Amino acid sequence: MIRVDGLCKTFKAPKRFPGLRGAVKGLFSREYTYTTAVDDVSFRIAEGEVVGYIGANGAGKSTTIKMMTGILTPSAGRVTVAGVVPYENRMLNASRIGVVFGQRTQLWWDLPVSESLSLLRDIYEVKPAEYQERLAFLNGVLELDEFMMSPVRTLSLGQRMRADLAASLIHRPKVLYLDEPTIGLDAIVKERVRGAVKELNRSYGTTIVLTTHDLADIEELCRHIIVIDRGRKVYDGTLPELRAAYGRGRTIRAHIAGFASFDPAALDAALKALDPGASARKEADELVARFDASATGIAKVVQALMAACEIADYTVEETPIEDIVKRIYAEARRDVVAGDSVAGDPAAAAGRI
Amino acid sequence: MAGLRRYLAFTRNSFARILSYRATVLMYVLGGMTQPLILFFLWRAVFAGAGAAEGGTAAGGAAGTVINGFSFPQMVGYLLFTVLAGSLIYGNADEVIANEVMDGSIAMNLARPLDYRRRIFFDHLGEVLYNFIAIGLPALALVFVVLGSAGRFPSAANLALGALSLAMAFFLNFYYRFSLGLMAMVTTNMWGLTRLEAVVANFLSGALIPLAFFPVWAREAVQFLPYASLVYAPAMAFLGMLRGAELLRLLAVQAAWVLAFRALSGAAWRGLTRRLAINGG
Ligand SMILES: Nc1ncnc2c1ncn2[C@@H]1O[C@H](COP(=O)(O)OP(=O)(O)O)[C@@H](O)[C@H]1O
Ligand SMILES: [Mg+2]
Repeated sequence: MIRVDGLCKTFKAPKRFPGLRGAVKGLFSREYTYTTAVDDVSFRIAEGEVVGYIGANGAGKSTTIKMMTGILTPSAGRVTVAGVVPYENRMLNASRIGVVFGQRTQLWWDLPVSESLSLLRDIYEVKPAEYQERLAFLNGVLELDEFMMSPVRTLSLGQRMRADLAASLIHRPKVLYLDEPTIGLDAIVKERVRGAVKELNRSYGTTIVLTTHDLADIEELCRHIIVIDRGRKVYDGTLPELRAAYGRGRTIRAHIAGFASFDPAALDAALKALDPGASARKEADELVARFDASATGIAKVVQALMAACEIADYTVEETPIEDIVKRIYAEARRDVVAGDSVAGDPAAAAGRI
Repeated sequence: MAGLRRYLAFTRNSFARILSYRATVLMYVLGGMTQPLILFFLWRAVFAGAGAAEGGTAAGGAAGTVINGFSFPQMVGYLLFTVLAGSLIYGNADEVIANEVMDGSIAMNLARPLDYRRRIFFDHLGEVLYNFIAIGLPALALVFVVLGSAGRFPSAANLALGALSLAMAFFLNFYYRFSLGLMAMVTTNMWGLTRLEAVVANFLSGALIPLAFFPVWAREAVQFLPYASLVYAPAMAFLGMLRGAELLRLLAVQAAWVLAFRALSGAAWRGLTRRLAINGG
């Protein structure tokens, strides 16, 4: 569905100088600063996939999306979406895609939501019967009714995002790009937006590319994830593969009988016998055991726990995806520093997500 | 034209937008009236003075006095006509584009199956339509009254040529403004540029003084600039102040500018979108 090959984008901007003097100087200066926002990125996205495009702020996510949607022309490389090169055949591509940029609205600021939607109906030449049907579907998943008649400028952020999602879907696009769709939303609205995305993908097989730095979005929605860091692709694979490769750490949290008088030292030693990196300790009102699932089986650890104390209930947690992605960044940066000469300060940027 | 409907949405929207900011627009309109009003009193004094010098009484002399081909009623007709033309070449497509570039909202518009220039055109059309109804039509009615009462009512041919010339001025202005707006993609100092442009355009278009009052060498040069095509040409065609070859030349220059700016704005758009950088997230 989407093919991206050797994609690069370098921005050229007039060099700015500090202060008033600098502003004047800037008017006449021919000096430029160059920012490479996307650096030789390639990937494939199959039809019907929900793909998470992950990266820290400034990693180049939006820039990639803009090239995939035909808004920006790449400095080098090539994109095709359903066989069309978006920036060469912008109009055709635009009629098949939907885009939501979390930080800005595509709705008309002064018009009621319903008016904006009917303008979009005209722009995309949607037939009245189809329009009604889609509106009913969108209303079902996004609950638009409550603010359908309100001008966009009066909507809350959550309402606006729901309206924007509806607006990007009124022509039933084949591909939907969501650039940080849950930014700034509260948990309930986030959940609803995720629900709508899932439903859309399930009902119509819409291919969805989602950029985010909220990894809960990714965990819930995406199988395929692509991680980029400072313009470079650093991971491309499925979420289970990612977990298999990086996420071997497990945490067991247990509520136990006689917690107050329980001494975890013996258990800690027992676990260290299974996996030298393992640990057991008390945290708040829980007994917490951490270990590497590739060094020892979960069953063995649970057995050790049951031998040491009486467990009321327990949960097993996988490594939070945040930690996994942090590790990917750290490894990528180490490679960069060790490998070629790309400048950067990995220490300062590491852990940023 | 197929697909016109999707663009008319923008005309409807910009018309509605103006209606909702009527008060602001009214201020602009009143502000725009001050120049013709001042010029009216200025010309009245000039014609009266010239009449007196020719030997008539100061008050009565004005009616018969002709300066550079203009009688006083014709000068008033010209002034009113600049108001009419001004309403058709008002619209700030350049600012609309510059703002979209600055705040990055141009991104959303490029993500839609819309030809950008055509979209801006229909947006512009909504504003012009409002201006034409609110200002242009009343000015036109006044032109008819003033010229009619002086026995100088335009002939059918002048009306037709004037309308054609006005239409060309409207399109030229749009393509010109569109090109100017695109400058926002390359310059960071749009504000200074548009201020300067407004002053130059006001003077060279003939909105301030008919080009007939310029020294011959200046007039000959200025007539060939696109600005003369915006106000002076339609006014001369409409008022019947120029005839035959001279008029045809003015209209031909106008048509040439329309085509030139159409081509230029198209080429500039294609060239600039390639290196367009979108501001913001
Ligand atoms: N219009 C622009 N001009 C100059 N630099 C830009 C422009 N847009 C983005 N950048 C730079 O490119 C990099 C990537 O930006 P972006 O794609 O917006 O990142 P993300 O969406 O991942 O946060 C950043 O360093 C940003 O400063
Ligand atoms: Mg972004």
